[in-house]
Amino acid sequence: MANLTIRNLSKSYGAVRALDNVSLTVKEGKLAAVLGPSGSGKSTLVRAIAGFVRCDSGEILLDNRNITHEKPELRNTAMVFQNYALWPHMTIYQNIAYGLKLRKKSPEEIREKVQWALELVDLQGLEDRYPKQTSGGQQQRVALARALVVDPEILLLDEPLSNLDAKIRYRLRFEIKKLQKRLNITTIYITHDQEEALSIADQVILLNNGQIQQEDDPESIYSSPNNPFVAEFLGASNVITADILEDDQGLYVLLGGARLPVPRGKKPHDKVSIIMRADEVSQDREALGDSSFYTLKGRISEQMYLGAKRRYEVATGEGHTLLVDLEKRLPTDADIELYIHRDKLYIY
Amino acid sequence: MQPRAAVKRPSIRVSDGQREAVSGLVLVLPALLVLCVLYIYPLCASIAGSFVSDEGIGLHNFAKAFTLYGTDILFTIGITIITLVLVFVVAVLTASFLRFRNWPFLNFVYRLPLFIPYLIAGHTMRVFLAPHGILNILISRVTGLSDLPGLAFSWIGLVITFVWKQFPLATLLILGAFQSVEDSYIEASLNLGGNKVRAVWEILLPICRPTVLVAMVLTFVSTIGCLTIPLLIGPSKPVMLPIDMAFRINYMGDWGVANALGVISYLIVIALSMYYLSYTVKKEDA
Repeated sequence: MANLTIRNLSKSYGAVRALDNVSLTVKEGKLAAVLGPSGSGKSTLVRAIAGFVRCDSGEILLDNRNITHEKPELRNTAMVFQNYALWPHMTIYQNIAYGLKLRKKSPEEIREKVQWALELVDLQGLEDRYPKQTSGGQQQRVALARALVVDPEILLLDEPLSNLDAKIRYRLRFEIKKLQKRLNITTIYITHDQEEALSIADQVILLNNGQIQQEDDPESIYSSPNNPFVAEFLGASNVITADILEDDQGLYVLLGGARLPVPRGKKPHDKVSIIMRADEVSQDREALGDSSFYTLKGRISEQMYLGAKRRYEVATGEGHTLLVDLEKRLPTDADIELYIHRDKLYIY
Repeated sequence: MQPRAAVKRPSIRVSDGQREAVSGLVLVLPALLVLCVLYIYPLCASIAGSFVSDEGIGLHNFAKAFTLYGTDILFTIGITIITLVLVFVVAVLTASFLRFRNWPFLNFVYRLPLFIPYLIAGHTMRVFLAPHGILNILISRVTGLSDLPGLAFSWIGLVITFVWKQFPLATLLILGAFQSVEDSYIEASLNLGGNKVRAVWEILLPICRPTVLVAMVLTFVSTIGCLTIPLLIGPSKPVMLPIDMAFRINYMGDWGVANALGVISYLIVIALSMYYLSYTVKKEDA
């Protein structure tokens, strides 16, 4: 187990900056989820740590060992690939034993370690099967066992659950987390699923266009997004662009008739982004208690049944459309008054 | 008046399956005819002819073939196996290099012998490997040695020519298979402590084994049946079986022994094919 430190890592593919001056630290035994949309550079980052991508500049350190220019086979990292990359001509036993054979372990030690790894991922009895004779979930566990059996200093998981259906994905997410905690192994977990990242990680690193947008613990990154991209990526369903207005009392923005403050440094007629989550809006004023809130007014223009809730499209007097999730059934075209906690409305 | 009940006429109804079977047969018929006329009939005639001699029907032609050409049979098998091994080594090395590194020059150059006819290839190598050929001139200039023996008209020259002519096709097939293997399979090996040599030997080759076997079978068959190259660059004694067959037909008019030699060549190829087929069937079963 080791601390991972990345300093000013950059990588370009022609004109495209896949990684742009990325710096981060993952402490020993922690699980860091690298989150971002397709093309954000998250796979390039994990491949750079594994040694499959040679970076243009920057450093990668495992504790104090600089591995930036080391060959992949010498880094002692272990990776679980998106497609698992289980070798089809080898049995599950042979797949797991491969790394141990390369480390010239004795046959006895190999047998013991493989059994340990199989028990770890709950696959005892499947060692003589070939990968194609197992299910997707089992293949994912074999890939995990193959990576863990060599006692790597750092575990790299490149979208390990993305090929599985939602039910299995949900279950394996927690199994991976439990294993990671049990083995206390420093882990980098690549995903584009914000829910997966927030539920599994000790630390979330949100990437976009090769740059870190925000790095924080799951609760902080969710409740205090740095910028509209972070807020939107982490599930904010309302991103509204509004004009800054000015009157005797100063600058303000109007949303649903509510007068909202303007961030510092903005001028009249500049644009601001107002961000709010659909499920943080309430019709019940009492539920917000004594805390300060905004009152937003509008008219329901459309609605959609979501099971436990209904999603309403609410048209405001300023011409904006808000998406709000409410449990109550309301008629379309009804006027509605909504309340939102001041801290839950982000203005950039 | 009661309406007349409709009389059901018997009709010949062709099912979709029958229609598909007929149209399928029509589509494959030209190819099937060509195969029958140009391959199956001559093959059957040749096998039948190998059992017919002046002494009547029997194994006389085979006995004569083994007595007269036993050494040539062994020589043919030996040359073919050596060629096969060397083609495998060169093709795998070239394909591995090109799998890991994109070098357009090598990717172009290695294919050139594919477009050179056997006759030209044989003649080129005769000039290249002759006692005063290009190779010896180059070696003499570099090392200062003189009177170097020529490799043309020797088994070594024959093998070199075969390898030069045969490895591009094998490389083309093997490289195609290597490139179809996703990078992650190789990276998984490197990630666990392997190197590129191990990745080729333990991952790429086993995964691509069916294609490698096809490349080797094609190399074997085209080497064992080649007449032009052994004629142009091979030793005068022993010779490869196609030369013996041509000799029996052209100079002795002895079709019986020629056919027997042909059948022996077939049996050698069939032995290899059986191995290939048993392997693929086993794999499919698994």
